[in-house]
Amino acid sequence: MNLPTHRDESEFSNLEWHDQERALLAERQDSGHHEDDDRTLEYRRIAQALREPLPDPLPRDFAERVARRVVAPHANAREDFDRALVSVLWLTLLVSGIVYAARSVGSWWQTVAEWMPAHGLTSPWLFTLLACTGLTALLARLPHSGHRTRLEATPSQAHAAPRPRP
Amino acid sequence: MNADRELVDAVLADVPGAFVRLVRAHQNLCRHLIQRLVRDPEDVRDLCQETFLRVHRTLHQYRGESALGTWIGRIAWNIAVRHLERKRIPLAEPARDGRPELLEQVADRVDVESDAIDDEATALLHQAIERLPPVQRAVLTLHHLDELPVAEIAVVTGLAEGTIKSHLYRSRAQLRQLLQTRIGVCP
Repeated sequence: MNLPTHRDESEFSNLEWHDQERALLAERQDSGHHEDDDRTLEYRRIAQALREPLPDPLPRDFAERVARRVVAPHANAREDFDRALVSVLWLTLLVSGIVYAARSVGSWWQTVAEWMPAHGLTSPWLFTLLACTGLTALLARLPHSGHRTRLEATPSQAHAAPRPRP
Repeated sequence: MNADRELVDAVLADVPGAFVRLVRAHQNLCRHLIQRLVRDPEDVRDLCQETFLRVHRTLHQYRGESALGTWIGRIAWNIAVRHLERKRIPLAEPARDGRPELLEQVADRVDVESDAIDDEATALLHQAIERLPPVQRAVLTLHHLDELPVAEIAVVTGLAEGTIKSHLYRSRAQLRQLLQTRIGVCP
């Protein structure tokens, strides 16, 4: 940080410094001007200008907005936990299904093999095609579990979003 | 100081509304400081928000050695200074060679015959304050508007007390010189 050192010691006048500080205190206490000399009056005017409120205040709900931003990570953590739990449940269901199928594959395949010729499905490839199509249709009906947008869109981002055409 | 400690403990214990109270109590100091350094209103809002998010993250490090406002001010100062450094904006007054004095930078638009001479002088002063280097603007505002003593400004800014006094003294002397030159007399 390229900040200056106290390089103006020689220019520093204690008397004038005390006038500056006295003017500042007089403005804070809003005391009368009757005992002030010209220099103090000028410094009081400067102190008055420096005590005026700055423009562009923060929004009225600034504190609440910041607090919401602070709370958001906790909410996101809960969402992450929910997502992880759903994934674990789906995985458990899938593994259970595979284990069940593996244990009963012999009798199951025999049933299918008997059933297919009876219904004209003699080719195993045709059966595989039907199975794949059915599985794809089933997966398409499952709820989408992609990541949600974590942060609320700011007003400027909301304006930037494309509008649906009529 | 006890009130600061109680508020900090409440925020750390996740007491509902405690953090909102903390932000409300210190947002003006934070805004004044950042606004005087940075100026752009959107940047000011973003940096104030960044300050309080960092305050929340690091609040467990607050030891109560200084007032909470001073501790928050220090964070705001660091964030604003880093922002200026990224934008390559000089923080303090460079060497005087080749740089016009405050007097020459402020437009000559004061009519000494005007009945509204007070308003003109105030407008002139505001214009001149805006022309001061960021560090001087910030130090003046912390001392005059936020009523921070020199020692506390030194903690907030990390500058020596002598440097703070020098900034205050020189800035006010420059402003007075401007008043004398443009207005001529003091009513």
